[in-house]
Amino acid sequence: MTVAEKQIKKFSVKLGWDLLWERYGIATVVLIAWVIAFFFVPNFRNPDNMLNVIRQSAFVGCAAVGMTIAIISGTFDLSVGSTLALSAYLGLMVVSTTESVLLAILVTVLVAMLIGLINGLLITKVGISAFITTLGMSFIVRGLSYIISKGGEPVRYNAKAFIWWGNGSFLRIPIPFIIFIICALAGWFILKKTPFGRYVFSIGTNEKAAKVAGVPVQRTIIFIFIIVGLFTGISAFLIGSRLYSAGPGLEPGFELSVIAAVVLGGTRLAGGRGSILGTIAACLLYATMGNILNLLHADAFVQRVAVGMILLLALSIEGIRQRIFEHSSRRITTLEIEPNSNEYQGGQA
Amino acid sequence: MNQKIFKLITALLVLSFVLAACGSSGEEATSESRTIGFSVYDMQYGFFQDMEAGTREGAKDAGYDYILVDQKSSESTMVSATIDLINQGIDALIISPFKPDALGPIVDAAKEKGIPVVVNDIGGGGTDYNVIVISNNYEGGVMAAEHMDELISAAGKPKKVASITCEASAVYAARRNVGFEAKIKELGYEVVATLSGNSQQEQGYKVMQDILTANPDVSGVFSCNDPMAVGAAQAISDAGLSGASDIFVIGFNADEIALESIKAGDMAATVQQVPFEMGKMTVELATQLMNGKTLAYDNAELREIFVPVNLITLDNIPN
Repeated sequence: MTVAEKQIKKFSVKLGWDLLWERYGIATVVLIAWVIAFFFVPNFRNPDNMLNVIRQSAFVGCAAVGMTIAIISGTFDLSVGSTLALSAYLGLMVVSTTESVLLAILVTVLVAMLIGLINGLLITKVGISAFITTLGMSFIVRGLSYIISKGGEPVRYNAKAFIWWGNGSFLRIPIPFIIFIICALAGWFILKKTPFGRYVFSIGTNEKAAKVAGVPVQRTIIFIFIIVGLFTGISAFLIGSRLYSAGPGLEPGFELSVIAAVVLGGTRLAGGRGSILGTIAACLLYATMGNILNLLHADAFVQRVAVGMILLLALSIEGIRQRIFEHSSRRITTLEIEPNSNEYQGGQA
Repeated sequence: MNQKIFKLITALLVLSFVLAACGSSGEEATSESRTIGFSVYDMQYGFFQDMEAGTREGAKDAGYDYILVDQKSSESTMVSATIDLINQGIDALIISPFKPDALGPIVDAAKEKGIPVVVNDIGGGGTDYNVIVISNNYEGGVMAAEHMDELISAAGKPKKVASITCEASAVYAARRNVGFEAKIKELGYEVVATLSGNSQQEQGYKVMQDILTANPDVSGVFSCNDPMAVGAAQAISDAGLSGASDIFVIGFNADEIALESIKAGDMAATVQQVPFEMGKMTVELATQLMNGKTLAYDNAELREIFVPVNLITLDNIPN
């Protein structure tokens, strides 16, 4: 073995641990949290409660699947909260006037995808940064939903066929959770099994290199935002159904919960790396923590602090991990370590 | 070496925050005693802090265990936190809903477990709740009208008044203006303007300016809430008049800004709601429901029970 080979060997061991944490770290934390809560938190083990936790994870979860794809590509979308409110509201309007659930699903999802398309076009064709575009869009869309609702009262609809989607169960498993898992599988498939998924990773790793390698960068980014819209629309429909209602002020700060869940799940904000499994686990962790704090009768103000601290802690684990990772190894070019990492499928497809 | 340190740190961090979350484990409710769950609108607001204090005291006095969750002004949190509450085996649910329209899943879940639902203020969202406790808004408007009549008669001013309303969707608050206008007309007054200020102070100011322009001889203004009343008083003082001696301004809520305004001599009076007493009353109603008694509704059709309100003037203002 040459010196270089030894170094690569040593590096790959470290990388293995690093990736292991990246992939399964949060999932492990969730399992540990569940085991501890099961034995020590009163009422947590009540099946109704545990089923409610996984139901709760789905509402942020579906949108987080789309956001994972966006963040892996090195971008993000701040307009998902407003998009959620507008599309859920329009969906409720449609279902309460036409009584057609199918039409409501279509309207909700298509409106959200349309907003995604506009975001994508503004970013790629006009050249405004994703941050500015989606921030501006979030104001526009939120404003629109107040205008359309003429001041802000929610629309209410409680026919069984509609509220089943957010409140029903199949074999006791909450419907929203089943849909969340289907979304996650779809997201995983898109990322891992399609050329589009490889483009996403390569743009996130190095956009210029991706362009040189022939990746259709602009088209991919437009599609990414449409996909973000699609998954946000699914969340919007589920939340509207869950609440039997939707108003233009629905879920303030939703975009931050979604982005936080994705980052908590180990997806790097800088792009290029991340996994759907991490996102699922993070959404479950988020819902679990909220539930545990309620079951422990934690004060509401303490809850706000706790949620912020959990997030900071999770992100600092990420930071500590990277520091150890960087300090303990000599710099080896990305190219050489690629074979050790499934996440690094950069370059051309 | 570094690997081990890293693993250790990770393990410690994970453990510490999981343990931190489990740190203050509450005692489990005994099966004999009853548990009351209260889901509050948002503990950031003084009104709901008072309501919560009343509910807690009522529960303590009755010997119940008491669990509180906070909706933090979010309809999603309202549903998830209240469902968490229901899943803890409570015997009665008291809720002041952030969005009454989203009460559906909560009331359905409670009914499924046979738990009575007492709504405290805001609204019932057209659901199958057992009872809703609300301030007697109509009576509050009547009290304001009577007091305004005394002031205007004593000052010998023209019998012309204006009424500033909240947004149309605030159905309970709208009853304040209805009560005021009904009583003041009965007392022989002309209501020269009824305008909406959408509950906002700046809009109260603007609306008052318009009223002054169109009706310079108006001698009293009733506002559906205090921020708009304070805004109106400001417009009156900008016109070189006083909201406590030239044009009598009466608000609703007894908000801090209104109390300050009354003390400063810019506003005549406000109507105070009593959230603490409302909280206590919900526990009494919950007790009756748990004991299978039928309630004496003030409005049986909508299962409403009214709570009296107080008039606050310079004479009885709390410090």
